[in-house]
Amino acid sequence: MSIVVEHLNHAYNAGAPHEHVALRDISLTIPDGVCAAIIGVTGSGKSTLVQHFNGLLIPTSGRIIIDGLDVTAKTTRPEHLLELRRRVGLLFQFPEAQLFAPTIADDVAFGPRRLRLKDKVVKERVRWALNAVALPTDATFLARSPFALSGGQQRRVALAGVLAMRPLTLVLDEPSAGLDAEARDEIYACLSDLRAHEGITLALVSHDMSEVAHLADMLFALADGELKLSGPPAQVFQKTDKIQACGLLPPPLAQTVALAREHGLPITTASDALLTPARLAPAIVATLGAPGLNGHGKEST
Amino acid sequence: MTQPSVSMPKTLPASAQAKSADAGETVIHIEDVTYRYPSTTNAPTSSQAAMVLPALRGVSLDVQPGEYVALLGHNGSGKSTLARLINALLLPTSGRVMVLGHDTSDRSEHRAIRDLVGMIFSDPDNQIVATIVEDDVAWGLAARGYPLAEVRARADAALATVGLSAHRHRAPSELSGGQRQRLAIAGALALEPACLIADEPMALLDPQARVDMAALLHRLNRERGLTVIHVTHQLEEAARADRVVILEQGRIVRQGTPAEVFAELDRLRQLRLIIPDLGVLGERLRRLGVAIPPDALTPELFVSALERLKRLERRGGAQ
Repeated sequence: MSIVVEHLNHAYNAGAPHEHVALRDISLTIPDGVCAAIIGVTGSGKSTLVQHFNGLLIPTSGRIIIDGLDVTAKTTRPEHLLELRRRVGLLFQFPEAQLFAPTIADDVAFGPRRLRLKDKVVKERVRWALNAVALPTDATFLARSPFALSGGQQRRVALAGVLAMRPLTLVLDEPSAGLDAEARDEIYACLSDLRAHEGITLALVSHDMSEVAHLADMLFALADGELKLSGPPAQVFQKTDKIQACGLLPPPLAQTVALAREHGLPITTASDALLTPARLAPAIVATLGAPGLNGHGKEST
Repeated sequence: MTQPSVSMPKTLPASAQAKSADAGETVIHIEDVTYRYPSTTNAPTSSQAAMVLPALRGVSLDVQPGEYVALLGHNGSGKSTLARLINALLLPTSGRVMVLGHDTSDRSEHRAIRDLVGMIFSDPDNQIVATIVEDDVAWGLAARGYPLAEVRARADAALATVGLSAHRHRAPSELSGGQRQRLAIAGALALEPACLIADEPMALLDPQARVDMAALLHRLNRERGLTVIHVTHQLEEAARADRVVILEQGRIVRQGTPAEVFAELDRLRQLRLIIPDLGVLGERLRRLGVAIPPDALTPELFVSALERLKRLERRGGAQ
């Protein structure tokens, strides 16, 4: 499912004395099946942008076409939005704060039940969604309280609740914020599987450049409500100055290469490949001169 | 943080000084502490393990004045529980926690302890109480009955220290996340604590605000001699600490300087910690014979290590 944004402007309290323009003339395309990351500092407009993706916000001017559904200020009707919200699932930041039901089964089933689906279908969806986030589906687990789970598991239950609506596109606001390594990797694995097996389009809001480098095919960097940079991560991360002009920091490896260059240590790297420790190590050895130059570096296995 | 820092008195409150003389040099003395949550719902992370094992088991730790200690561990390892025991938000099930000679098990000491140990959390909104920035900083002082002139002076100094003087008349809700976290720190600093506990202070901040927050904590530590206990699950946040203490399943499993602790990355992987890319790069380079120190986990530290190596190489070549 593709998302096409054309000359989108959004103003809060439009026409009022305290009007605040949050987005200015944004045009971008997220093709079907892609993972796109929207990056930017607090207040850059990224949350405002993604709230247009499922019709929580309507453009003040310009339009957004989601899987052929055209959303503009004039054409939007309530039934339109209902359909849009079925197709696009939105997972807010710290979604575990929205868990509320006494059992895991009830929490995940909340959305599908509102669609007035038959009990049997709801049960199937709950099972499928929990399976998709790598949680158990046995009766004992389903009957447990979501609040007795670890933070990482709670977040995956919240994600399952969105997935149970069977969205074609998933919008995620900072999906790994505050999680430890294990819980974070579990979320990443779920998202990668959803793309691979369900062909779900992902739009990710993130501060974490390592996360973005790991998951995204395309980056869109916002600053002050404007789209400043876009492209594949490897390309965007090379533009250290422009990223910093957006108030963002490139991933640590890219920062290190840029800083080393400033200090007269020109590290040569491929311009089209994402920096990884494996790619960077030989380049640094080449910059420093022959390996083993220091004499006290221990050779290990 | 462009505001110049205003020097605040480095001396401890009189009561604390008297007590600290008895207790020697230690700011925090934790002695064989075990803590079990009464029910899992009260635990900061209600994991399954918490139901079975106590959150802390036989933990002993001494923190010296002016030390910057990073408490490192994955979610549920017990690091937040330990932090909460230090300023008597929690009391040990067994064992003893002393803050500059004050025993946390003595309820009459709690006020003194909380004056001595300031605490901030991931979400500053949990501790911002007023609707105006300067009122929020003054709140703790006013509640303790300090004279108005002193409340003003201390609040002004604390706001200047964290670089928020220009925002003093604004509403906290109009500030950015990084500014609100600095406001929370100002509120703690106004009470002139001997020790600041920062529990995952950067978890909700954007990258630039994280860099600023790290700089502020280290500046307070270096320039004020403020003892800092920084709770985190990220190695790079611990890279510039004086000492790293790693917790796992409620026990201290490793401690030392960042260079010592981070030299064993495989051990840290077993402890379910995220190894930053620069750590992995350093590890690879060491295998290739390039002596990058294991604690070079920020771009600045890494590049200065590279520069040192380059100079060594030039010198070597000249001989």
